[in-house]
Amino acid sequence: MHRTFIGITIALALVGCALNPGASDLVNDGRNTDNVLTYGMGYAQNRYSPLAQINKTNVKRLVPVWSLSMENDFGEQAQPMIQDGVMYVSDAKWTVAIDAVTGKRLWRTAVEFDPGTPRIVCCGVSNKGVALYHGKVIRTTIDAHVIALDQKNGQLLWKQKVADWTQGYSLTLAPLIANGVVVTGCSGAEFGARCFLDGWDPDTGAHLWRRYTVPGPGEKGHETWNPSESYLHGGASTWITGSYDPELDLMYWGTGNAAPYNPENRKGDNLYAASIIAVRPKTGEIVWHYQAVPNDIYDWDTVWEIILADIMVEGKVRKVAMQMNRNGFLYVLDRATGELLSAKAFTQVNWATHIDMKTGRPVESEVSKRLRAGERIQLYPSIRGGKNWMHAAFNPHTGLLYAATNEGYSNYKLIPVEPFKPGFRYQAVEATYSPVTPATVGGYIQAIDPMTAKPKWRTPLMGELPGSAVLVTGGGLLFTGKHSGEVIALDADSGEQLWQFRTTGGVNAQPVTWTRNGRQYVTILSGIGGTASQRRGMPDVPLGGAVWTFALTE
Amino acid sequence: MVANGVLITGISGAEFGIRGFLDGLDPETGKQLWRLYTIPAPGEKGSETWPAGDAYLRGGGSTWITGSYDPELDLVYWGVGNAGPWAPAGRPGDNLYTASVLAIKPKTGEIVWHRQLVPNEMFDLDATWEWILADIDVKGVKRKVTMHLSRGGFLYVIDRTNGELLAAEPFEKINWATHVDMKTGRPVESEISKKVRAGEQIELWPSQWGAKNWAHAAFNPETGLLYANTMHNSRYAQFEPVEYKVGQRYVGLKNLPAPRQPGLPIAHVDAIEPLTGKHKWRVPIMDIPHYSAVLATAGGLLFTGKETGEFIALDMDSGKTLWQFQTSSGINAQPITFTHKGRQYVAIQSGIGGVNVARMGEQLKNVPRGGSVWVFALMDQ
Repeated sequence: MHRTFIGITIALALVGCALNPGASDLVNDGRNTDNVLTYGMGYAQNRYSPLAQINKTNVKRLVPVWSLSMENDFGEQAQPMIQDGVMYVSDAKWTVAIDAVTGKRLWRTAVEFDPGTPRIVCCGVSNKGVALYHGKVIRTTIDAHVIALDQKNGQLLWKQKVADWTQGYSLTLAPLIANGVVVTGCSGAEFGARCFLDGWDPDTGAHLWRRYTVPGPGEKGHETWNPSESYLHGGASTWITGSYDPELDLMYWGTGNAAPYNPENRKGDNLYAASIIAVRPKTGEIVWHYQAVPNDIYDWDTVWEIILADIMVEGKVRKVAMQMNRNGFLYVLDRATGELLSAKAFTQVNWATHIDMKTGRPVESEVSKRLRAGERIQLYPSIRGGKNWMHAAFNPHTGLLYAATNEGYSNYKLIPVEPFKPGFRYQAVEATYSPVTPATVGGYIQAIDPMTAKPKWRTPLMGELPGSAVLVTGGGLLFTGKHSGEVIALDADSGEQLWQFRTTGGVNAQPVTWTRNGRQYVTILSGIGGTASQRRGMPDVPLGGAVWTFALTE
Repeated sequence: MVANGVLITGISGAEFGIRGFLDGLDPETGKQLWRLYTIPAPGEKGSETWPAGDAYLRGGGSTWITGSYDPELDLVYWGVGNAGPWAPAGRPGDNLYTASVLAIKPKTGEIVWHRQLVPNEMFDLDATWEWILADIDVKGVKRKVTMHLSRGGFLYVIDRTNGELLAAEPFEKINWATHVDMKTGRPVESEISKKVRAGEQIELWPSQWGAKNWAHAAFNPETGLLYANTMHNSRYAQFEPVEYKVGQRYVGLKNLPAPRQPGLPIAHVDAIEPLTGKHKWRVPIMDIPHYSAVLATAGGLLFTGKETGEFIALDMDSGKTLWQFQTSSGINAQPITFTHKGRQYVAIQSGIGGVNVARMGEQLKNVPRGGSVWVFALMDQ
């Protein structure tokens, strides 16, 4: 008996060695520039790479070295992952493994989903990327499942149902693997979902825990929903991958808007909607929370990337979590405690006058009071947000955030709430957007000081809204993409555009940079989608997805 | 094509029992000016090469590749496809103008001369591939010729003023004919062809894919050479009964893979001497035949594409690959080069499709679909 037990232990240990990446590979992601193993290029989601082979002086020699069609017209938003010369890419239809240097496809596995699923998706039939762990490619699906494929051949290893898509639930986010647990979220706050985080065993798919972001009866925070049953469709979706601090063993997840947008039937603060929550990956326990917008009425998702860094605050190095929120404020929190350190507006804001630093609550303006009284208002920022999901980057050496932000406003009015119907929109607002013409500043790419929220520089984006996440490199470059199809490189010190390349479709994705055999590459997906697919402003940008990889000419 | 102010179009469908034609249209209004059937009706010249009855109505003769044009002679050269059905038992006779080249007046559609490459054609030996025009030395005399690397494996050189056959040498392995009789211009069918006509199964060289398929060749007047993606493959062939049904395949040939000798190329990129069919060089291809046209430039380069997606540039003098780029899908298209504001560009479409996807299914399983246009230039210095 004893002997058998030892035998099994040794066998498991051997299997553990063979299965990559492991937990320490993820913690150390970024040290080996050959690999990109985490969402955001590091658990801290800085989207910073020290690579400097491609730099300001030679970026003009950057050319595509290969492209691969994704055979998908729904749009491409994913961040590629790379391990040992193999790139793993996802969209709503496919999971694909590619030889990272040659661009040859190694395998592809279709995602099976009901063709009716897109009707319960608010913002594009999409997927933001895979996670790699223990020889598996783990991803979410539009019909609210999480699946694991064999990293070698794409064969399905396990599949778990997260929720019933017909009730308005979908998943588009890349899973987070933290402390050996696969953590996934939920989309559907526009369809009256009650969202959550789930923890899964990466090896078996066994469900370990669920933490509702809208507490039920008896749970802490439930008292912030009034009447009590409003929690059942309370929203607070978790559709962007959280960040993770392995030393504190805390994940940082943002939660989405409260549902429906019209708050008439959900009095109270509505925890944990529009909040940042610090969660233990092993248990799902909420260690602290910070609610950015109590009783949200504006779709003020607080889900955007939460960037972790150690920065000087009033002369002391603080472990912080930073977020450029949809609501127009840049939040800096102590990530150990949740203490609010700064919350300055980074764009024009008229729904709140400021954030009260004592209470941490926004002070609603006259405009918000008029909205709550039933008037139509002109809202800054627009309900697309001062920034949308397009992830910002942080360079620890400059101490600056680099982000693509939105300009413009919404005309906005609350309308009566219709009874909840499963699988139908549950919002109860009227919203229009300021027009975007070729002469309109649709947004800015800017370098921002976290504590003041002031731009060091900003470069206007003419005639379109920002499309893509930002990557900052040790070569002094920012990479991002445009809905009109260009991948661009800017001087990180001035914002001057140094290089561009027109890809086959619109670019609304996430650039990464990596090395193989000593050569630096930049990869980004092209393929207009997401909410951009609903925009009528760019009829000449074709649909159709492709992966693009660039390098300096030899 | 537009020739002498007339828009000329052809037709596909010889595998579905059509009767082929060319149309002349007014480019301004779209009005039809003329129609020339490639299969003559009873009473018309050439109709004697078809049996009595309605075989001619399903006789094939499609015109699915654009012709070439000599403005001085005001003649359009247009290749005509296979006879239909492939199985020839029901259509004894030469079956004009299938597997022929026609020289026609663009204004009227009048046939000035014709030359049939394969009388009573039975292996899908389309003569539709490009008919390349050049003025070349033939036995010391400069001749106005039209050249054609045929599906059946012969390289035809024809005087384009009058249709006189000047050369017809093989450029690939052929077993369906021993040679082309230069007096009659007719291929001399081999024992293999006699066997298949008698109902036996044969191993046919070249296979029905052709010694070359539609992927267009290029000609460099400086080197006097043709540059082409050719194929080196055999298939088993045996005729079977076939019945015409509207809109259904009308072929009548069992066409099965033959075992391949290991180490034997399946295709080549070739530089070929027009009058001899001899190769100046050959680049063997071991896996997947190219299905892209070739572009030759004065820069000493050949551009072409691969089904696996690489756009490649070869040294015109040796066939060596000098450059390649992996596009987003497979390439089975046609490169061009052009200038704008003094800068040279090369353009090609990528997007796997056409018949070879099915033929090469397993080998191309990781080549994604999805079309795009690619434009290349030298880096600004």
